[in-house]
Amino acid sequence: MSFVTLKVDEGIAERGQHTYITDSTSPVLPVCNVRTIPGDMTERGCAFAGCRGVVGGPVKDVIHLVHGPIGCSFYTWGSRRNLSDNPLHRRYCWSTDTQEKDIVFGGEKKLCQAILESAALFPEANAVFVYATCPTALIGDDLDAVAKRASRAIVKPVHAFNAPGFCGVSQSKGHHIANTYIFEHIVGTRELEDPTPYDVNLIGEYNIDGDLWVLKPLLEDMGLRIITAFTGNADYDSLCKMHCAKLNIVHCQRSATYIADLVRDKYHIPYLPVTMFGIEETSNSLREVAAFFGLQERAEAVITRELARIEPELNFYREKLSDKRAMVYVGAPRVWHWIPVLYELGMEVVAGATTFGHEDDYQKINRRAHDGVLIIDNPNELELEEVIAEYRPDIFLTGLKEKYLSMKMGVPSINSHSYEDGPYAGFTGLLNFARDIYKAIYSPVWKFVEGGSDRG
Amino acid sequence: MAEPAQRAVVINPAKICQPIGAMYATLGINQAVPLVQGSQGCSTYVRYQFNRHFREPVNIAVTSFHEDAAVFGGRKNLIEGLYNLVLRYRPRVIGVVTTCSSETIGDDIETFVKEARKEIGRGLGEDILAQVSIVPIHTPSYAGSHVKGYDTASKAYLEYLAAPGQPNGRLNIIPGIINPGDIEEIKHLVREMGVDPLVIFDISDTLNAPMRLPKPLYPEGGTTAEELKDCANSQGTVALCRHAGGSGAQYLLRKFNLPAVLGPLPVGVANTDTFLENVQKITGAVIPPSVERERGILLDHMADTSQYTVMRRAAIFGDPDIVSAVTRVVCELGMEPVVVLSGTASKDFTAEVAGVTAEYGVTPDILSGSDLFAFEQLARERKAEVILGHSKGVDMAKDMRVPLVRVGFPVYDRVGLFRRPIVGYRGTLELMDRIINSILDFAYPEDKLHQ
Amino acid sequence: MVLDTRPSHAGAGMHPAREAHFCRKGQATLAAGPVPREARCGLFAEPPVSPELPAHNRPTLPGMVSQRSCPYYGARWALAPIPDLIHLVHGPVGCAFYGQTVRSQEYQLFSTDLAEKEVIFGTGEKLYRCLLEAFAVRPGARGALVYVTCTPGFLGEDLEATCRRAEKATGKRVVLVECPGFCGSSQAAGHDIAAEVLLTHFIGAGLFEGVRRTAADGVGHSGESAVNLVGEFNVRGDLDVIRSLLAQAGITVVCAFNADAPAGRMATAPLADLNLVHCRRTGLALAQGMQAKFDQPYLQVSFYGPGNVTASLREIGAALGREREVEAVIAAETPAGEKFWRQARRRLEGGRALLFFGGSRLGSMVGAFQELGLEVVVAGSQFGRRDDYTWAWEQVAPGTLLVDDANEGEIEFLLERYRPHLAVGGTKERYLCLKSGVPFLVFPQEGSPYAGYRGFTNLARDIIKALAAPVWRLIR
Repeated sequence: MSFVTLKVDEGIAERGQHTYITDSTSPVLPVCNVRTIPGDMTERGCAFAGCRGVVGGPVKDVIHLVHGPIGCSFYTWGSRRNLSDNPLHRRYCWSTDTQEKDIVFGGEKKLCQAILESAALFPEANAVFVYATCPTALIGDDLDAVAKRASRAIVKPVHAFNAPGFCGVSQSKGHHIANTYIFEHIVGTRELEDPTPYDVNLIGEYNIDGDLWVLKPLLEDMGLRIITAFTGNADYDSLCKMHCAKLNIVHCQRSATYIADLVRDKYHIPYLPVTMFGIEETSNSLREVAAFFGLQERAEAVITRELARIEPELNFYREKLSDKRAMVYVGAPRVWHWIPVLYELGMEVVAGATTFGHEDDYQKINRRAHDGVLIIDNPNELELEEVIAEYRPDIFLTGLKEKYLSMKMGVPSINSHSYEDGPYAGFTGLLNFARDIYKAIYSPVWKFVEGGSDRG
Repeated sequence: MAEPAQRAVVINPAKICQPIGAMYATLGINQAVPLVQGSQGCSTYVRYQFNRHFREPVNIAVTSFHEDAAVFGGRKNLIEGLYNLVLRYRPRVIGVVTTCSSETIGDDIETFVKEARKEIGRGLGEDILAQVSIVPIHTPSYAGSHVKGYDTASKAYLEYLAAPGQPNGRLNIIPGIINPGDIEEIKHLVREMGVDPLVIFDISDTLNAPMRLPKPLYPEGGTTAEELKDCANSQGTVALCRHAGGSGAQYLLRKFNLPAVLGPLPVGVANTDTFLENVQKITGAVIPPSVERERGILLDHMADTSQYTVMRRAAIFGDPDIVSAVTRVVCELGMEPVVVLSGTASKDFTAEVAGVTAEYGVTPDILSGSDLFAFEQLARERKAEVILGHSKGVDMAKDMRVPLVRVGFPVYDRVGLFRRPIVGYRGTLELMDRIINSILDFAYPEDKLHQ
Repeated sequence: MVLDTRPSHAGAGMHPAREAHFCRKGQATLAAGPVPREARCGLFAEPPVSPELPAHNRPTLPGMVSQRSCPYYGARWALAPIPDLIHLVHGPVGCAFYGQTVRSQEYQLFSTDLAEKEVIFGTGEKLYRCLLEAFAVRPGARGALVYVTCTPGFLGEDLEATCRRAEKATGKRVVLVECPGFCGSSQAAGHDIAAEVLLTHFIGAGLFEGVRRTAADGVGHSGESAVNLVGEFNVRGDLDVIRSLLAQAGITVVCAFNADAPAGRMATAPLADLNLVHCRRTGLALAQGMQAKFDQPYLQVSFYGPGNVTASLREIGAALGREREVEAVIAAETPAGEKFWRQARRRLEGGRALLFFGGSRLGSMVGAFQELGLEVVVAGSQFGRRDDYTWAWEQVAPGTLLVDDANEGEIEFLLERYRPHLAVGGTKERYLCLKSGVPFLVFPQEGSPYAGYRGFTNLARDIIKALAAPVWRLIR
């Protein structure tokens, strides 16, 4: 039996079976993807965040119009670092700024007007994505009907994403809704003019701090052509043509396996789950992709070239990071993506956690983590505080909210959602990743903090 | 004057919604936790904003609305949430911050809180219950803005907590949505006058906490529950921002007959003069030479640097009280405000700014409740040479090739500004240094500066 | 004259030795006559030439907070812009550090960084080594100027010999600029030393001694006249404005001493038709020297204020036989600014101004302020000579106070006594005036050119800006 109860959870029955210690002889899975208990200092976001922020937001050439009070659009304005090469993207923020009278009389008319105005002011946009929020969903505004009407008027696609904040248990629900919607209404609406035998999609890759821009050349150098990423730096047109690929490569398997499944079932396009972080995982992933196309030799050439480029510098970081103890807490997949990377850098992983992991995420964690690692599902602030105090790791890889908690407790941390100075993916990214961890751990500030980390 | 944009769509908003304002106030109370009655995004997004601006961990709890709450209401969520929060955190004060969803559903928060108190008393004991004050704050996100949210909270807390007692000789200050550094500076000025300030919602320590181990569960500082009770017995109240905190001051006036002064935010020479005179009027304290000296140093520096500022065109955006005060500073520096925007709609803002600018014979476009898209167009038309506002102005500033002087909330792309005041004579000095150095950094040949 | 120079708060009365340096313009006229050449260094007090002018060119009274500087400063002021020479300061490093910045421009400056050891055992070897190293760093340089500062000035070594040795080793010209700080009463001495160095070693170098200028051979384009500007330093583009005015009248500038006078081009300077002296203090001695050596005529001009510009252009036109061209330039250039000048004048009319300049601007700029409607109540200079004061005297209204070498305490007194609307001067006066609540205009100006018609618009605008700052209304 490897479930544990943290001290702060004593007396809170609902938090039983969310926390365990890995044990390969008798592996367990935590209770996961269930609702957060009220009054929790949860780290979770809402379905709107998953839909607007994670999956929809990176599409670069559309108007992202949030139908709701101003906050929901303000908070999602340029705050996720899903970079693109389009000046329209992340520079503007559109909202219907729902007011009391819209709540009373309905907001559909205003929404329709807002779509027409936005399309007129930004003729360079190729489509409009409309996002529902809690109050506009609660009052029953029919976004689909408005979208249809407006689309006829502006002669451009208008799509309604109905993922208000209260649906589902976390942002994960928003990922799912966005996947399904894009599959049903966008994918397959246009055909690729010049298909080749080497067309792929990179699914679940959002170009955080430029991840896509280091992964893309690796695949291209192997002779592949990427039709689109789903949805990092994606334009609307290429999303329509996703179904023309020969293979889907799935990176974030939490937020995007849905669409890979749907595309496989309808269009009979296979997909390959991959990890593109760290040398070994990235190399193996490239090899598997290459094997599918019979491009093994070219893959080996790319891998050899990249290794030669990064090894000398990487050795320095390996030496410095050897035996450092890490804690890693992010959304879900990056936990199991990164555990092998941390091992590869010679580090030890003492604890891990996910915000919205499902069972398959924990299965992968169990496969990849050594025995004796503390794993928490959907931890809250208080639990994290206890674990940090208990384990006092040398580095805590986590998001921004938890970063400042960790630092205040004298434990170095790097922003692992949007990165400090990424990209972190691929071979080049590994150097950045190692360097940022090194910078955090070896910062002289920790020498001055009494009882602080100071393991640099 | 250009009319606010007659559009349905808001593009690049310069305001946030009510709940974050209420949370801003709550975080200035000692051992207090805001509990958001809504979806998880309503706490998570807000925490991100505070994390980015203050670079501090921020405790905000949420009742995690899901579909069942949407159908059946948030009663169960709130009662369970309050119980769990007290069980785990033992806060002294809980601000129940409502959202668009709970207000749309029509949750009867007051009744739910009563029920929750019963549950807590039963489950955790009356002693523990007696230690915690639970204050409902109604902040429907679809009305007003973050500024209104702070204002609403200021009244809610005082209505629930302020109680008559012995006169305490102190002076209430309700800061509004300003920075820890500003509050420090206000306390300094009031103390120099020999008056003991009672800052209501004092984030100066809670959102600027030291790194000292072991980390306490709650940051030190903040206004205590006892002080919130006692503020009914002060000599009077100054709400630095009329739109954010004015309601609290007016409540204390109506209920306890405490003299109330609403604004202006003491940024700039004239506004700081006014603030000190107001403190003098309420308390009878005199303005000491040490403060006169600060004034003199400010003027000396204004004279030394007027060549850099006079006739330079500025565009200003942000919250109404800050923008109107900063507009006055900009005028005092001889600059010409060309566009002035309050993201939050306000009845008085336009007249107030028009009054300030008329004194200086300049005629900016004044926008109240408009967005940064309209602001940017006007700033371009009127060839602004410097933009003053928060971090959301960075893209337009880059595209226009003018410097952005960061003022207001949120500022997440520069470090440490929350620690530095812009209020008082010394804060104004800091602000004008920031303005001038931005201009010099941006487009001023170095060789002009050696003289 | 005797003034009670006690500022209200403190201080003793005027030092008796300072009385002669203050002089109020009366109704009498100045005695006419040729301007005598004055002693270079002013080591010894001279009696005032006329009781109508303040005593000048005298050593500063020790112990005063003087606004003056030293001859090394003056030499740098004049020579710093010469681009194709190595500038090496022989002395402890401080003088080189300060001397890098001239008129707020940064220049490359080498230093021998003398230390105690060299002061005791001799500085020549280090100077020699530094020269070789400097030429190695800048192989393109045509030669080197070695500024002799106080320390080597006192030591009395034979630095000439060292220079000759370096010349042999490098094949380049190496010239001493003997400007130790103690060798005169102010930076004005340095200006004269600089003029001598240029005249002796660079201007016309390679031409036959005593050659008479016959025509503008090889300079200017055919059909154009050629001039040199003497005493023009292109502050914020002043020279560009002047050059454009002259070019429109078909007049080419060969050398502008020293804003645009590479040593290489100085050789041809004597071929120009005419020398135009702009800053008299730094330029007159040079122009007079060139007249003596190359028989080259000169004209004293001012490009500040439309009145001065027009008058000077006409004189230049007359001297070069280009009257028609010059009139066309005047007609083309003046209308653009006139409306603004009138507005500015309406705004500034009746304002009292207090001017503190180095020397020449006293004469060349006073008219510009008057054209803006400002009444000049005090005109002071740090190191003006007789001709500077005379020029100013001729222009100011009776009752104006002329002051020589005013020190900090006296300036404070004058500000209090006259409560001017505007004070004008350099950085040292700037903060004193501002702190006294008086708007200030700084020279050399920081923004844009003040010369020519366009520059006058800038000047007017900057004065209006200085007066408009709302801070003056906020003072209690």
